[in-house]
Amino acid sequence: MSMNPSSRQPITPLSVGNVVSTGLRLYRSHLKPYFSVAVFATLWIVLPILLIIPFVFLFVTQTLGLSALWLIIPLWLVIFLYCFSQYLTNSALISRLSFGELIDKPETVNIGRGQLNGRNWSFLFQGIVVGILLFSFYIICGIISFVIAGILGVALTFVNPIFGTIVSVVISVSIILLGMSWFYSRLWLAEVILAVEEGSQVIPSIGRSWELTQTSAFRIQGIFLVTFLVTLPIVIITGYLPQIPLFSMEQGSAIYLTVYILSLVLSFFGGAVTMPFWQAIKAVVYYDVRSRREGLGLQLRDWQSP
Amino acid sequence: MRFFNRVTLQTPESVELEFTLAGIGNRAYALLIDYLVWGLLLLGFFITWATFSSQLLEAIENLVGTNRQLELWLVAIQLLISFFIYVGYFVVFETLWQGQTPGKRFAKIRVICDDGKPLRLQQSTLRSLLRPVDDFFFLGVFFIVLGKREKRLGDLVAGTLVIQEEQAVASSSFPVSKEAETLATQLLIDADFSGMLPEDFAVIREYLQRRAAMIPAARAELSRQLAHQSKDVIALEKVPKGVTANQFLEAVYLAYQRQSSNL
Repeated sequence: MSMNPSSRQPITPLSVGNVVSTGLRLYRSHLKPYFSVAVFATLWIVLPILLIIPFVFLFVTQTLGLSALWLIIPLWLVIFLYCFSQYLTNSALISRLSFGELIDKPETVNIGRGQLNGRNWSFLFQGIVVGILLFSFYIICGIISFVIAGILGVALTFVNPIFGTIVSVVISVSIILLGMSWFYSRLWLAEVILAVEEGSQVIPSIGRSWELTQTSAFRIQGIFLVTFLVTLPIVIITGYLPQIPLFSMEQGSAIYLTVYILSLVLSFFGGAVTMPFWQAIKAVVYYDVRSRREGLGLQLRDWQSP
Repeated sequence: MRFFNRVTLQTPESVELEFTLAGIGNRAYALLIDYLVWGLLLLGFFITWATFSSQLLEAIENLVGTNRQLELWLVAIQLLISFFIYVGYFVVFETLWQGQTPGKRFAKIRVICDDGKPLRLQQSTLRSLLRPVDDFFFLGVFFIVLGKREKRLGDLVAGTLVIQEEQAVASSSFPVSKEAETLATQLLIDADFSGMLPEDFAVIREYLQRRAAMIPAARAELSRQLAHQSKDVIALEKVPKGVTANQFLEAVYLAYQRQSSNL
């Protein structure tokens, strides 16, 4: 393998750690474009939340009557769905750009966005379908874990009640966590497939994600874990640390409100910082899975093409 | 794009060595496993110590009556031993296994000195002593992610690097059909293998090794493409009749192997 020039793509599949490291390298070398797309996406999702404020204000000051609610709520819902679709499209754009880099066919942000522009409703539809699938699987997981933990708990209570409760809680949480992450890892790539593959449709893309990840589910779960660990410092600093001062303040005071809003802004910022990382890793996993299942990148050096 | 972060070291004898840096993913993975193993070790130690110290306290009580001093001493010794296990776990493994702990062994990475030499006791100790700062304040993650040579505080102080191990090329384990064997002898006569580079051979070998895990439809398409490309590379005029793309590739693989072993 030392014969491969370093500029070539590797022809062996990537390990769990290498996927995460490659995702990080992608993000670092394209920090400005990816982060600006992520900020754009975050602004889209913040917009409907901001819109609630004037609506509530108008409603509270009696400018609008109760009957106006029948108009306002559906209107806000439509706006929210549109903004969410734009959020999903922008985050898929990052994955598309990353994949282009991986196969040596890079795109600029504008070209990539142009490719995805008319399809934001497809991304929304796909997000809804995946959400429904996840929720259904969660119900199934919940029932299974309830049954198993219940049986184990009852059996172990004869040994030691405290031990029995602890074991059944641990087992039920583990079943749900492992089961959900397994199921999610199978559907995870649907977004990239829709963004990258020409002519892909929503339902077939979900099926293709399922098929491509057939042998890789456990590895992807490992990738989830490692990525979560690596992003943990940023999540803690931007999401949880700013909320600590709130404990010592009284609710409803002006300073409480300002700190609360600041912490909200900071957590959105943290989300924008980590989003390109996850999306780039998604693209690397897609590349790796296609390499394992379809031999992507396995070509003899081509002398015909330049 | 360059997938991996490569670093070139100059040894004191002016030999250039090229290594691939481990990367944050592998290091986080290795650390996770290390903490799991170390946690189990520590748990085992606590349980043993708890039983031991409670027995000891009981025995002493029966002899001289309650002794607060002894309890405090036992707690202090326990803390000290825990600290030694914490530092010692990494130091012992990294020194004995030449820069690898169980977690690093699993993630296939290794610690080496800046000049390419294997890790020694002083460096390992320095790295381990700074580990609490790196791990609990997450400073290590930031240093590795943002640094050029991916050094965390412990690495900076001790002058070490964490690299990926060179992957040994595993011996091939795929089945080769009988038709391919006969075709290979024929190809050695008919075709010209001088234009084939080791990289081409590596690609064909990789395909043959991995084809079992591929989706059948994609595998068929890929084998056809590779067969066509190989045909061009070895300057073969006509494709032999009744030979599938897979068999053709196996034959090319065997023929190249025999030819290069004959040279």
